[in-house]
Amino acid sequence: MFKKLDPLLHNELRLSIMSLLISVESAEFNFLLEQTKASKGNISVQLSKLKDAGYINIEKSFRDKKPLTTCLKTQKGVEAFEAYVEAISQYLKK
Amino acid sequence: METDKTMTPEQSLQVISNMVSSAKESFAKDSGFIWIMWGWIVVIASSSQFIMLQIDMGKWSSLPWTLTILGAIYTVIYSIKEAKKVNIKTHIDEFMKYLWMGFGISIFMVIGFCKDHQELIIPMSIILYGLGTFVSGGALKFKPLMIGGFSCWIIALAAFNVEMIYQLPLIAIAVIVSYLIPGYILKSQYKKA
Repeated sequence: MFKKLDPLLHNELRLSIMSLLISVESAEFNFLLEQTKASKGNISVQLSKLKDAGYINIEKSFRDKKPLTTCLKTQKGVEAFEAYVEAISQYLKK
Repeated sequence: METDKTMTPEQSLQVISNMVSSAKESFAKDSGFIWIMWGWIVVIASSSQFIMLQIDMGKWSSLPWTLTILGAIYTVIYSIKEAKKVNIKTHIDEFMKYLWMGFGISIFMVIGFCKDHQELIIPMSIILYGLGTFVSGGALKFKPLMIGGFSCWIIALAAFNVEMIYQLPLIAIAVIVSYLIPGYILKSQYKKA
């Protein structure tokens, strides 16, 4: 019996963002921009969706008077990511 | 990337794999600078004190150790500047931050509160060097630091059993093996990258 893939994570950009955040303690917006090569607007939209689902936290601050957005995974996000990886492993075993 | 593109499970795995590898390559590389700086501070301070004690300048012989205060201040400034250069924080960064804060507090306490047992200051400091460098080496998977750290514990055993004046060359040897050698290896790897 195949588990249904989490639609929130079964999206290339959102999955890329979560994969990056899983690998680090925290990441700035520019890091996500550099690594995913997506547009600022698109990343912002996907970050909001992940935040609304409780998979990530977003912290806004300033550095040298410029706004800084830092993203961190949440425990819920880690669990959802692990469940997603487990689910795709099931598909790949067949 | 389109928001509604359907991926196969293989493609999902590829995305995850690419992003995780890419993130790992972005981790800040250690240039070895802080290790080298501290190594030289301790070698200079311990050698200077040893020489001053030999030439009857004992009254002033602790003065070279004030270099460590400057070193500590510069280490904090340098760490903050380096952290701003990269746009991620890794789990290892957080771990190292707390490890070395703990080390700093511990060594401050050893130096500050061993007044009645001054012969213990250097051996205990060497033990702490061993702890800091061995644990860092393990966390970073960098053998020279682990070997250096372990060597500190052997040197500390010797330091407990010699006259105070001869503890000074021993602490210099300890930082050469646990700070300077690993620091210069890191520097050469950093340059090659």
